[in-house]
Amino acid sequence: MPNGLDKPETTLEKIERMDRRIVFLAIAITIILPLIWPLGLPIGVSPQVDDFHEAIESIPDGSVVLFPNDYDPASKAELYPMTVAILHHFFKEDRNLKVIGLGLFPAGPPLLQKAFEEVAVDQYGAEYGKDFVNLGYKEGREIVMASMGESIPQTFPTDFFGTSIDSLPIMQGIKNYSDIAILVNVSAGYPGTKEWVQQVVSVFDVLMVSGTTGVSAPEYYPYYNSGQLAGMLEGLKGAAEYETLIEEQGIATSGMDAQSLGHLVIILFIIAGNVLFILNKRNKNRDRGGRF
Amino acid sequence: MARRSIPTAIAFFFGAMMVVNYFVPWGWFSDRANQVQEWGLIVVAFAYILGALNVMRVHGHKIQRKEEDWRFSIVTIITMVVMLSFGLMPEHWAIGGMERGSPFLWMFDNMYVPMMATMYSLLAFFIASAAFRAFKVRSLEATLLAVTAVIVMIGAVPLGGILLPGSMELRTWIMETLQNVGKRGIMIGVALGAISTSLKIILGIERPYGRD
Amino acid sequence: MWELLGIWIQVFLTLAIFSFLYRDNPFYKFAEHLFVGVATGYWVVLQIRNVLIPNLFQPLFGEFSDPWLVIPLFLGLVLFMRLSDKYSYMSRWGMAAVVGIFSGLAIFGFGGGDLIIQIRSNVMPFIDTEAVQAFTQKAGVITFLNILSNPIFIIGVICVLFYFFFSTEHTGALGVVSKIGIYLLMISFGASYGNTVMARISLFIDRAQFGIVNWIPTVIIGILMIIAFVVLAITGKVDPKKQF
Repeated sequence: MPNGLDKPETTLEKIERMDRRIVFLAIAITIILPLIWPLGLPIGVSPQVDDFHEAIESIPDGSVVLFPNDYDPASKAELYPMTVAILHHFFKEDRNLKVIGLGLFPAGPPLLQKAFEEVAVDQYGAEYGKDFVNLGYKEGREIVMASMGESIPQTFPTDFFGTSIDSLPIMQGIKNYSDIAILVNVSAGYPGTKEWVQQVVSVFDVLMVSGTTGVSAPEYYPYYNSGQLAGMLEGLKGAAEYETLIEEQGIATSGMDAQSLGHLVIILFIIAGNVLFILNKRNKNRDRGGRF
Repeated sequence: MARRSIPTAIAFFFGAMMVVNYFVPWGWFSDRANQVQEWGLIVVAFAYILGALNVMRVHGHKIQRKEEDWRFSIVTIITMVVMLSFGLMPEHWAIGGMERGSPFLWMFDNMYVPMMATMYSLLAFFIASAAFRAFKVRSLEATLLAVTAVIVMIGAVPLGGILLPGSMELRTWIMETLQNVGKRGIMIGVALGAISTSLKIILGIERPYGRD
Repeated sequence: MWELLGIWIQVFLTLAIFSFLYRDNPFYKFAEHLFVGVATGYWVVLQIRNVLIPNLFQPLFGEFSDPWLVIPLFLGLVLFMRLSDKYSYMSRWGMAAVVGIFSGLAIFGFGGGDLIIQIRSNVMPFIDTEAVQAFTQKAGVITFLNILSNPIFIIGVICVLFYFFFSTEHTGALGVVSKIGIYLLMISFGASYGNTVMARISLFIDRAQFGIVNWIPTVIIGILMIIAFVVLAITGKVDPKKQF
C-alpha cells in the first residue's frame, strides 16, 4: 500500500498523489481563459524599469546605441516583447539614434531582424544601414566582447547578411566602445549580461542597461545595486511595465492578466500541497498511535 | 611528454596573452593580443561544426544498427541536410541566402522557433506540478524559501497589488536587498573560485582540455 | 501560400510537442528529431556564414590580408582529430587554445567586474541618512525596511561568505553567523524560484497567445491529433494510463 500501512488509501492521500495531468490541465485553463477574456488589471512600474527608461533618455540625440540581443526562441516569449518595446523607445521620438544590433546566441539575429522590420521599418520608416544595422552572430562569447573593445569592424567585418560593413553609412566612424553612448543588452543567460558587465562595463566604462529573463534577473541585482547596470527589465513583467511607461501597449501587456492568474494558481498549488502533506502526516501518526 | 606539454604550452601562451594585454593595453602588443582573440573565436566556430558531425554520426549509427526509433533518426539527418543546403546556397540564387523569404529563414521561422519555444514552455507545467508535489515546508529553511517565493510571485503581477496592497513595493525591497545579499555573497565566492581555477589552467596545474 | 503553410506547420509542431504532456508518443518523437535536424543545420550555417567566411576564409583566401590566420585554421582543423583513434590527442591543441583565452579573460572579468566592485559596493555607511530622512518624512513599512538595507548588506554578506569559506566548526557564536548566512541564501533561492515560476508561466503565455490567434488550425489539428491518440489507444499501440 502506498501509505506503508495495511489500510487502503484515504481520499486525501489520493488527492495528494493525483495524476499530474490534472495539474497540467488546471494551469493550462487558468492561463488560456484570461487571454481570451482579459481582465485589464492596471500595471505598475518598478524603479529598475524607470531607471532603464531614464538611462536611454539621458543619452544625447544622434548617439550610437549598441543593442546585443543575446537570446534564442527558448526565451523569445519574455524577451521578444522586450526587444519590440525598446525599439519603440529608440525610434518613437525622432531622436536620430543609431542602433547597432547583434546577437551572441546563434538563433538571436533572425529574431532581432524581425523586430527591426516590424517596428523600426514598418512603423517608423527607419532605414537599414543608415538608422540601424544587424551585425548578426559571432561565436566566441566573452572573446567577442573583448575583441570589440579593440575594433568592432575587425570583429564584425560583415553584417548578418554578409554585406561588408564598410559599405554601411551607420558604421562609418565606429571603431570601438568609445563611440558607443549606451549598451542596451537583452539577455537570456550565458553569454549575456554578466559577461558584458565583466568584459565591457568594468574595462571600458560603458553605460549599460539590461533586459533579462525572469530566471536570470535575481543574479543581476548585485550589478544594479553597484551601479554597473543603470537599469533592468525583468522578464515579460518588465516588458509590460516598459510598454506602460512608453505608452505602447503590446503583447507583454496583453499577457499580464494570464501571468497574474498563473502565479495565483501556482501559489494555491503550493498551499494545497502543504496542507495535504500536513493532514496526511497527522492522519498517519494517529493511525500509528492507534496501532502500537 | 610532448603530448602533455604541447597543449599546456598552448593554453599558457593564449591565456598569458590575455592577461598581459590588460597591463599593456597599447601599441604593438595590444594589436597582437587582439589578433589572438580573433583566432579564439574562429577555433570555437570549428568546435560547433565538430558537434554537428557528431550528431550526424550518432544518428547514422542508429539507422545502420536499426536501433529503437531509428526511423526518426532519418528525419533528423534529412532536415539537417536540407537546412545546410538552403543555408549554404549563394545569395544570388533564387532559393539561397538568409534574407526574409528565403527557404532557410522560412524553415527557421516555422520550425526552429515554434518547436524550441514550445519545448521550453513545457517547463511551465512541470514547475506547476513540482509546486504541488515537491514544495513541502519541512524546516525553517524551507519555510523561508517558500515565503520569499510566494511574495516575489505575488508582488510581480498586477493582481498582487489588488490582493495584497504594497506587495509590489515589498517585492522590490526583497529583490534589491534581502535576496541580493545572498547573490552578492555567491558572486564574490564564485569570482574567487573562477580566478583561482583560471590561474591554475593558465599555469598548467589544471588541464580541462584532457590529459594522458 | 507559403505563409499559410508555415502557420499550419507551426501549429502542428507546437501541438506535437505539447502532446508530450499527455505522454511520450510518435508525434512528439517526430517533432523532437525534426528539431535536432533543423537546429544543427542552422547552427552550422551560421558558424560558416557569420564567423568562418568573414573572419577566416575571406581575409585568408580572398584578400590575402592576414596570413597569420593559418594558425587558427590549423587549431580549428585539429579539433576534428577527435574523430580518429590514433591522433585524437591533437584535438587538445585547439581546445587548449580556447580554454587558455577564456581563462585569461575570466581572471580580469571576474576580478574587475565582480570581485572588486561587489566588495567595494558593500562598503557603505551603517546608517543611511537619506533613508532615515525618508522615514521621518513618510513613516511606513517600506521606508523602515530601507533603513535596514545597509546593515543587512554589511552583516549579511559577511555571514554568507563565512558560511562558504570558513572550515572551522560552525558552533557557538560562529554557528549563529553561519546560520544567518544559510537563511539569507535560502531567501535568495526563494526569490530565484519565484522568478523562475514567473518566467516559465510567460513561456506558456506566448504559446497560448499563438494558439488563440491561429485558433482555426489549432482546433482542427488538435481534434485530428486526439482522434489519432484514440485510435492508437484502441489498437493498443499507446497505453493511455502510462505517463512518460
